[in-house]
Amino acid sequence: MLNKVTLVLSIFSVLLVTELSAQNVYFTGVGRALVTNDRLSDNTNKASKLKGSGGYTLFDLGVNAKATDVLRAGVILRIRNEFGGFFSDGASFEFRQLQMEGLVAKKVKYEIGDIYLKHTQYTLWNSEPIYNKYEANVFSLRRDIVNYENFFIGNAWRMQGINLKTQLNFKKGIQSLGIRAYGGRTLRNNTTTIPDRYFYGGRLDLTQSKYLRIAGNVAGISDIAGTVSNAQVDYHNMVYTTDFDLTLDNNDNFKFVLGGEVGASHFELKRAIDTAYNEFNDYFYDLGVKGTYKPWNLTLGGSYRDVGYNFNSPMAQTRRLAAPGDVIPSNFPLMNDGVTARPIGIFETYSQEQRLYNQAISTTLMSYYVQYNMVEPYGKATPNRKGYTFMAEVETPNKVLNASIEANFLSESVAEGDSITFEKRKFTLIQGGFVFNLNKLLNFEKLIAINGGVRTESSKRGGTNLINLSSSLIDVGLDIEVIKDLHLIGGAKIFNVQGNEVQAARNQLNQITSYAPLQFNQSQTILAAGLRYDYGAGCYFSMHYHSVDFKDVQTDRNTYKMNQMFFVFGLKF
Amino acid sequence: MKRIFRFSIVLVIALIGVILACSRQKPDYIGPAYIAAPENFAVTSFTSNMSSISFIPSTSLMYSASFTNSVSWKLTITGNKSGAYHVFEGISNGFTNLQWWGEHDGAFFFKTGETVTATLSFFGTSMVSETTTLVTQAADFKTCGKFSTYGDFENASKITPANKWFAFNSPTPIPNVIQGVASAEIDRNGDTVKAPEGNQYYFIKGKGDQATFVSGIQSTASLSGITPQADNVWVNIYLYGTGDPNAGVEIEYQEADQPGDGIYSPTTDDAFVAYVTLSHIGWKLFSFKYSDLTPTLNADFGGSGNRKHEPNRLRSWDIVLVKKTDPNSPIAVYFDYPIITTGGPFKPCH
Repeated sequence: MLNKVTLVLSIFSVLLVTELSAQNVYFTGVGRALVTNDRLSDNTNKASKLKGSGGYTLFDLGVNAKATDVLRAGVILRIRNEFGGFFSDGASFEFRQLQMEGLVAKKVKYEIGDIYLKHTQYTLWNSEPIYNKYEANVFSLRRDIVNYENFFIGNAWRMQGINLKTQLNFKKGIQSLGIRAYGGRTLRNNTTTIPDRYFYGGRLDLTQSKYLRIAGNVAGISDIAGTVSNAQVDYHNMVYTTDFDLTLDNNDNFKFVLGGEVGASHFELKRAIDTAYNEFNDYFYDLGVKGTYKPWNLTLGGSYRDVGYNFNSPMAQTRRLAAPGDVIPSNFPLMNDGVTARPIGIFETYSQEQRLYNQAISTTLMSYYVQYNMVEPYGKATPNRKGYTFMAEVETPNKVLNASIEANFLSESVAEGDSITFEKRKFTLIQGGFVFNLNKLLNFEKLIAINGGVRTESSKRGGTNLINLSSSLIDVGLDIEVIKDLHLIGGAKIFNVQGNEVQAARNQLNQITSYAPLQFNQSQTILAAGLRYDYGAGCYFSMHYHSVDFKDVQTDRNTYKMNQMFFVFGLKF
Repeated sequence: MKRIFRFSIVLVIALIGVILACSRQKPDYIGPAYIAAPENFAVTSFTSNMSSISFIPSTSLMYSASFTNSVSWKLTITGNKSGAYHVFEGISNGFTNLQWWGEHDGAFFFKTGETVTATLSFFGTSMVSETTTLVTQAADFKTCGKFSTYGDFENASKITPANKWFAFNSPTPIPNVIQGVASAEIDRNGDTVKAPEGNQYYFIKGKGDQATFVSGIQSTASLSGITPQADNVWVNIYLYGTGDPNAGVEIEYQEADQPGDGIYSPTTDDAFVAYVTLSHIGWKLFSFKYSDLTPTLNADFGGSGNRKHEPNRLRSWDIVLVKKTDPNSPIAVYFDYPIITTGGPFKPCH
């Protein structure tokens, strides 16, 4: 504690000195007070509901000092007090973020410390685990909190390291050349057996003309030999890719883009336990075309991809949702008198802030919830997938309606476990939705928005080992501004999954070691309604009621009903 | 401009051509083979050779089964009271005299006096076959390693200094702490804690009177005869977690480094530590390779030895309950069955 205080005082001192010299210090802040009240009934306690409550108050103070364009230093300090704490009983203090950024020689932008990194979908990418593009605001308000708490911004991973980028412009031959390099540490050594593990990557992005852009990418992870005396592993993985766009945009009505990404991976791992040298090489390609009809703002596209079964790209394949074995529900972790572990449902994916999401890069393909991600559990970079993707999106010029749909028809490249008929799984993933701003159609000032979304997934295989699993997730939502700044918000999520699958377990080399049969007959219905009042820039209060009905016909003891009252006051400046 | 456009098209077509020319050598299938049961699949027989069994002295229960087709099968033996289980798997059209010696796979041990159900299941079908057996005497795995005497905590009256178990007592008693042997403590989540082995375990609860330290217990029962090869020795203990990130334990293994004196002296000898945060839920076996244990940083309590991992010089061990994040919040640890093994983590043997 003393060390923390010393550190805080030191940083404040540095910032104060900087402030005095530069007179350019500014503050940002995020505050939140949140309270939940829960009821659960399960198979054992159908009549007498289990009860629980929780919540906290927190404030993230961002202190930023900008000396010149060369340097901006920022720190976010967090004070959090659990619901029920009083006079610091239960309060905690921590650093949430420490970052420096600036411009060197007016050309090279740098970031050091806690940085958010995103590269391409096959090199460094944080994929959304559950489709939520068109979910109701009553859910997305809570998902935003979960994302903030877990450091998720778009598809970027929050990492500790350095990120450098610059752009060189040319007068002849080529238009510009973008250069980017990044690196940092993903794993700290344990002083004896686990060595330091570093990530690094870079991109050369050449824009030749308005017709052609082509880029080369590398992304790697390596153990640093010698950082521990008795290393049990020596791991290296490299991904090399090229992405490009060929654009034809010489017409007032139409625009066409031919684009894609192609690359390869090299995996090697030496282990003390078997002295074997394990090496795997594989490649992928993903090529597509898109056409836009400009007057309607309508885009249609199609692509084909083939991702090899040994394609390894940890920074693109790491899952945002933690492996099931690491997940514990925050509310009512056990039910049926403490005998049954409560299964994770769709409700937790947008409401549980801790012990559900993963923030660390995993060098092995993580275990996952098959019922929620059977087609692309590791995003676009999911290994052993090939097939077609089609998409369409439209946005009316007056923004009354925007809608999109994507259909993926994929299959495995190589059969998994079928040693007799060698049958491969076939996958279908269709997802899409719309937002309809009714008030714009009616020329009404206050918001009336209706949204809806759907995702269906299926995994099927014939031959000796039949597989037939399908799921659907339906979202509907409503947001009505009843009086100025006061919104009535409501929504529903309906999830169904039925059929059988097998889940592969993998070893340190990412090779499949066993399968577990899975059988599903499950439905989840979540209804939520509430109010949201916006005080002004960045300040709001919201209260909701969420009703969760989790039915598991296959395993009846997993069935439960849960209700939650939720109150939140938030501010941001 | 047209020239640039044509050049771009040629370049992209060439790139696509190179990509499509790539082909990987594919195996017929990846991963271990498995075979799902076909539609007309049936179990023609499934039996065990005894209706009741005592695993002491070491005896095996034998299962036999035959099926109409060669399929992937799984035989799961489950204790009706303990919740313990053991799994056999294979691909065949049956098995003959498959031996079970009373061992378990998860955290829970089979109990004396319980009925076990052997369930035969198959990939691709919900069909199961079952047979039951009464366990009149559960197997004893204390000889699978160097077991701390009375460390199954089944006899509470033996957990005393006279039997080389020393509950921490400075000051006496440590304020705001309760500790001892129990069989049905209630944890912070309101759940009853049942023993993983036998019926009882040891627990320490409270917030103590210091910022970090709560309390602990030391065992000085004989640990002689352990190999000196530190990378071939594992220390094992079952710990119960409640998901509380504030609760942690430091398990210290204490050596006698000074030649001749034969006892652990905190100010002159080594103590090597395993740090565990009890943020898991339920019982879990924690196993640490002895060579991976961290030398304690506390010079007055084991930080003054030769800093060599020497399990053959082990004389005692202790478990200390510590608060990790919040000095004002009470915490708890429940533990059972500490055992030191060679060749790998603790695994029931016969």
